[in-house]
Amino acid sequence: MTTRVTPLVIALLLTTSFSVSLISSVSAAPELSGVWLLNLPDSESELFLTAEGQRILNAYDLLNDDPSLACTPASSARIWANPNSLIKIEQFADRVQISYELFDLRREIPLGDASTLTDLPSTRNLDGTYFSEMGSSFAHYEGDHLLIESRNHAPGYIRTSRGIPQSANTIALEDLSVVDGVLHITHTYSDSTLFEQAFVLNYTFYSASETDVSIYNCTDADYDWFNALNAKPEGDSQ
Amino acid sequence: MRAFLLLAALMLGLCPAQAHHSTNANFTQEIISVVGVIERVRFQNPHASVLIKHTEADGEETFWLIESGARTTLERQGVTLDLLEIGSKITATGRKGRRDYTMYLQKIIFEDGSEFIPQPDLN
Repeated sequence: MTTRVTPLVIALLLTTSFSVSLISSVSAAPELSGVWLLNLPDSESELFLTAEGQRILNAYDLLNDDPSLACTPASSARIWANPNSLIKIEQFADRVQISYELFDLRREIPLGDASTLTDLPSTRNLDGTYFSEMGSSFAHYEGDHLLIESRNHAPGYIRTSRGIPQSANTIALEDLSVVDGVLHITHTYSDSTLFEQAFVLNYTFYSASETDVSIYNCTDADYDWFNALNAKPEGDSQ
Repeated sequence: MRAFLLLAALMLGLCPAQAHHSTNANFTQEIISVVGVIERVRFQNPHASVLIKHTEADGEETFWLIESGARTTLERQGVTLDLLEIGSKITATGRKGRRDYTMYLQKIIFEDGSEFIPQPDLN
């Protein structure tokens, strides 16, 4: 039997070969893809702040300074550690994409070294607004782990409940692995201006039944509209 | 403690396992109840809420914001706020907020005595 190899067949073969190459590359990586939900409680290391770190923490006013009041992520740690919010991880040959339901955040992390960093933050919401509070990230695989390093952070808060700060000097390392179906993340924050020792958080996540995150559409997160309702007229001393 | 709080404050020793981190920061463990008329129902993120107007014996009116979980969370739990009709008189019970006139909802009791508990696992 004679087979005629047409240009179309060649193109198909090349495409197939390229696809297999991509899949092979991805299949060598640990399987982290899926939709995840936070287990509670999470845990954290003891906090050793520098004088500057302590100053920022002392000045923090939860009721006014929490970036969440503006539907803004305070830090990547704050977004990971949000109960009941779906997180979807997708692995590609050249990048990892993490979709956080909270605030509709989409984080695109190139695989490679620090040379893959760009001036743009890695995270934006569905409106296209970038959030440097989440830093600029790159990642690589080491054995069964995905390691994400983030730099170029805007000032923010690792823990909004207490005002544990991050700064432009902060370097964050997220170590992701799946053990027995549970996603484990160790999140290490280093910043010599804020911490005497690295601040380490540990989270675990269970696999959710959902296949995608929902649209969050954060609205009216602040209390201005409500406070206005109970505001006393000027001159009313009561 | 303002006079219109119906129940004496109770210290609830439980820390809800499913609570939002910021919920624990923004709301105390003190349980209060407030009577009011529903003015607005907001089924949205980051927090669904019910706005009620409370009227004191002397006629002074205050608005209370009764907050609950995120819309997306409530939807996954099969919870809607459809039972809450504008104009209904209710008694809302929950954790007193650190902001004035706010509460994290545990239970609403309607005038006919029926109850609405959106997140029983948090109570």
